[in-house]
Amino acid sequence: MIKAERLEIHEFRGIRSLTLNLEGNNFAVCGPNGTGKSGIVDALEFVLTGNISRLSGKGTGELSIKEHAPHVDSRNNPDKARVILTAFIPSLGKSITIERSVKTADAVKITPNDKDVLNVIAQVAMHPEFALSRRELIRYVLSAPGDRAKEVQTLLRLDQIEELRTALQKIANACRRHVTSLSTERNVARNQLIKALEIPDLTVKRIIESVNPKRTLLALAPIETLTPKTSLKDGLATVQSVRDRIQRIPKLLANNDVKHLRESLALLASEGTQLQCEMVKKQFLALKNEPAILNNVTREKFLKTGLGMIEAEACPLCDTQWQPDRLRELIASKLRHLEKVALKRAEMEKDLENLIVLLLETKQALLAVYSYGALAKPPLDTSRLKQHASELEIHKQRLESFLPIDESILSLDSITNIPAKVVEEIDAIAKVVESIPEPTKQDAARDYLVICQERLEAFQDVSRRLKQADARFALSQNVHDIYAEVSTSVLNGIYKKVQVEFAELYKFINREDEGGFDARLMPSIGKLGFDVNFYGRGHFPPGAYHSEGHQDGMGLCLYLALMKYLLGDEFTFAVLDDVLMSVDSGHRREVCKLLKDKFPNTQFILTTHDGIWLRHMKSAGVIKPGSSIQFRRWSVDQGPTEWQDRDVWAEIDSHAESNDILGASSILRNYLEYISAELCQRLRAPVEFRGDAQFQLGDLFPNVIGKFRRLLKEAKKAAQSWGQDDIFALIAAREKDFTERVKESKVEEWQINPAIHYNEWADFGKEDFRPVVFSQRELITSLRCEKCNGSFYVLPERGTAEALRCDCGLLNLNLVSK
Amino acid sequence: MNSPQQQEPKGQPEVPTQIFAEFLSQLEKAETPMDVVERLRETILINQDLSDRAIRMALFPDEKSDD
Repeated sequence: MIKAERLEIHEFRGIRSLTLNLEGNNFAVCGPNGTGKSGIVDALEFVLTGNISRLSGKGTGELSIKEHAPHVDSRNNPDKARVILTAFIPSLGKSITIERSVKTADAVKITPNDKDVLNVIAQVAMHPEFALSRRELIRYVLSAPGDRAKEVQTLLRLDQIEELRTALQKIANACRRHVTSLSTERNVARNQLIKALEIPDLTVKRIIESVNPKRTLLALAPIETLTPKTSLKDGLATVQSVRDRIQRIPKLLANNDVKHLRESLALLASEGTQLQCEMVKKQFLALKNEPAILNNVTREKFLKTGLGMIEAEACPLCDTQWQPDRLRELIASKLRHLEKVALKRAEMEKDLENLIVLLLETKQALLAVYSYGALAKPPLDTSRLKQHASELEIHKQRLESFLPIDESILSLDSITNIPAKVVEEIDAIAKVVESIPEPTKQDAARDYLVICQERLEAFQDVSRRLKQADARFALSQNVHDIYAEVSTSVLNGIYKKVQVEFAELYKFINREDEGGFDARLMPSIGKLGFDVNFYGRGHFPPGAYHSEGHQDGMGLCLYLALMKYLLGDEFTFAVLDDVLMSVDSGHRREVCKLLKDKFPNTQFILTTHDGIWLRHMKSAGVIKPGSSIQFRRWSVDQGPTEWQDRDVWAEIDSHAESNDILGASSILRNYLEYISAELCQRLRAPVEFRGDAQFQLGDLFPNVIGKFRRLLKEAKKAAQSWGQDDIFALIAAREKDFTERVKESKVEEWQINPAIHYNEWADFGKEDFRPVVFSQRELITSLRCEKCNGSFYVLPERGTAEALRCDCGLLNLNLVSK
Repeated sequence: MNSPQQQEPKGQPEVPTQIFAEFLSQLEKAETPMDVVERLRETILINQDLSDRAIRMALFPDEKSDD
């Protein structure tokens, strides 16, 4: 990971040109909504990853980086929209520069570009979660388990783990289905072989006992044993036999085949089969109006999402009023119903297996008898048998597919019907077969051996394929099971560590009221449950009882725990975009302490629209002096404007020069309010408490002046006590100068209060207003260092004041007397 | 800038790598045929191809000729 040192942004999002000197420190960006804070977050994400989540995530529609990342006035010139980041890589001890233009967002200039540097930048790019908004933060906490698992998996880069699990599961399922299909095929081939051999069951002994008498009739050597290479017709003149087989109907076999076909059709049309069809049909009809069977996957996901979104006493979808517990129970019962439907389907598929086997057997028997039509003399039309075989194949496929239900029901209504034409054609073939003269014993034996060998080979072939399919299924299932075990075990280990770290972090910020807090991350396939302890009353989902502020804290702690696990010492950079807006004031200092104490090596870039939050961060030491920027307004032409002296006074002068005194005075007053609040904080000036924290200029500025005077007096007293006459004289001179500037500003002070004199501004000209600006500027300037331009501040920030100083140390006055 | 523009380098995710390596190690211990393990290693770790088709080819390289 990196530490950001300098960020340059040009013509990007709402920013025209902005440079931030981050210097590897925590940095805060503060300003009202719509002043450009998010542009900085987007710029950091863009320069490091080439992406902007805000323009490419869910719900962004037709937004694109190329078209919408440049400033609106540079939309046709995306090369001007560029971000340059100077950063330091602690692990390599190297400074680097990264530059990316919107025009070529996929390409990046990295200097230097050696392998080690590129690897670090690649790692950063793979973790765009270094930038976290509140919208994303809350997803870790309030999501449904399935969605939370996805969020956490995305953060931990676990999507590949799920991808492989899904692939292995699909392959194992496909292998299992193949085994089932081949098993059915093998059973049919086995039955046909048994019928051809005219034996009750298929054993080597039976086969040999049945085959050898026929071979003896043909003067062939008996078969001693049966191996995969054994041919039952070994020694027969094969070519002649085949020719014979083609030219005439083998009477005995044909008789058997006709008999078998009639038996199969009788079984298919039997009362038992009809009852079975009726039973399954009823089950199908019961499911017909059950939407869950049709789109159970989508529906299950929808319900689970809804379950996780129940926060208030209303349906999250239609806002209908509900008691949350009752609504949760209703949705949970629907989910239980879905599970029942899935079980029911599995049972029905089991019931359908017998019917599917019967359809396959009958189809094969139809095709065998159909083939005799062409051999009859004259040939017989048996096309209806072939057509019926095709129809049975369609019924079989429909029942195997299960859905659509209407088609399965249609097949169940049809399969027991035997068309009269089919019966007629079977009778015709039977008559032809009957009329064939009885073959000699040798001919019958030859036919027997040829047909049995054919069917033995078919049986052996399907058995071989089944064996191979079995082996593949065993391998794929075993590989899947090992993967599932390993991934679950490793993930459990990760979640356990994260769970402990999360609870520690959360307890740190809530130690006063939730010292006994703990949490449970409960992974299962594709889901991640998350329950937290609520004041010792049990474990519940975070949204159940904890306040929104506590949930925000949980989201931050879970995120930090995951990042710490994921990156360890490499977790050196994170952007927290307004993530703690609802944390109550009582816990803000603790959050600041958490960031400072628990993540001392991580550079946080924090944005907030709340100036008080910024002051909390500063006073807690998370943000050092000079490591923040405060936006005051934004315009499409200029982008965000900071509260910087140079810009403010120039802007006021500009308005005044064009006689826009109203505009100039408005900026002056707003700036004085801002800088007064800043100085109150820095000088530790006491201010009358206001519950709404809405302080006006009159509430602050006099207190700044009074406090600074007292500080100078204390500094003089201290210098005197230590015998530092030269310092005493310098302070006295500063005190005199300050008093004169205050006096000057007082003369003009009344003019900057528009609440009193609003109507009079219209009568003022620039000559009237100029002295006002001058006096205020002089006063403000006297409260900051002439060298570093930083405002003076008191150290330490709490407790007994010890020193009044500036950032560069040019002013460093001791406040403690001897 | 003293470097030309370069394409984004590809990195290896940490947790998945840990799991994949452990998975292959456990396959070996379970006496899965070595050729299968090696093909899976190449597909998953080297080619980083986790598609159904690639994994199936790694498991059953002769599938087409047989079926």
